[in-house]
Amino acid sequence: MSNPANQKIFLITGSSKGIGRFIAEYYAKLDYFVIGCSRSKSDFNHPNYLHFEIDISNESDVMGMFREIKTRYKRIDVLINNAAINPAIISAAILPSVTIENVFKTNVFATMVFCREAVKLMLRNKSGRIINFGSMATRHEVPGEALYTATKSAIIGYTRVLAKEVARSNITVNILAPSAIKTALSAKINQEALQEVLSRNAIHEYGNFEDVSNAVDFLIKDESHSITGQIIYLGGA
Amino acid sequence: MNVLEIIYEGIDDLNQDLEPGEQLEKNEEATIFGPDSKLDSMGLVNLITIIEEKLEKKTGRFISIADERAMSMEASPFKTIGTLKNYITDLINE
Repeated sequence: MSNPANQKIFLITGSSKGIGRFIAEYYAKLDYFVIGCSRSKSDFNHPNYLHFEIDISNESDVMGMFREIKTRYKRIDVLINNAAINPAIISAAILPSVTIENVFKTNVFATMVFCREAVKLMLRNKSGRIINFGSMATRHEVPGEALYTATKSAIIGYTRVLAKEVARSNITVNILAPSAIKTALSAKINQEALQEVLSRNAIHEYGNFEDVSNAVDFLIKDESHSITGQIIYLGGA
Repeated sequence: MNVLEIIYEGIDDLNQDLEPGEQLEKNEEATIFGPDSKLDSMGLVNLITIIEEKLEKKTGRFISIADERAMSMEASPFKTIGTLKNYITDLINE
């Protein structure tokens, strides 16, 4: 029986598919209470799961969701900023401004807004764990991925500063950069190019969902209270 | 609505979590945030959040105190209790 008052509460963005969906299911089944959100509906039905259908790049949608969370549960223990969009591989020399703006809105601005609102809730409890998703792209400088790489690089700078601001309040903020995992997002990427990038990792094979949940398990442990402002590259990027 | 009273209630809430030497005073000249402040940046975030919640309860609408205008003002509205009171009063009257 779900009882969020006695459960650790997760908020996961982009939880209707891919990595977000996997970790939402993983923690709900471990009897944590998971709040997920995405632009689409979720067909994951579980007593420990609540889904918000919102556009994370729309601040008023996000604020409405946070107000509801605050009213109903009063806290968030773990925020996982997983949602991201990866535009088509295209030269930086011909990127349309509207594409730049849209990708930054989802990958960077939304992450910042979610962190801001989650920190406010976490400060009241003097505890919290924030995990922002990075990418191996920031290590490999892949031609055609300038925009996506720029957004993920922005997340690194932001996360490291935020980690210092909130450390005294027992809130940690880290980056988890998964290796390529077979998801709907990665399927849209040129497979030959992806394989070439993977070959630059220490581990050349695709990663899997369990690699991600294992790293999240580690970062949210009470014993990981001093691990903050760090980047974990899965696959050895 | 007495804005000063709401700010003082927020300070009372915040002070409960602070050590005696770190607690904020309740007078309009008292510094909230700046070089002489006892509050760190997260303390300011906490105070703003508490006051926003109290304002929402009283007015029935969410008023963002840390809005874009507050960030761009040369004289920060978060400098003293008096400047914060004036800023919130302006926001309510808009």
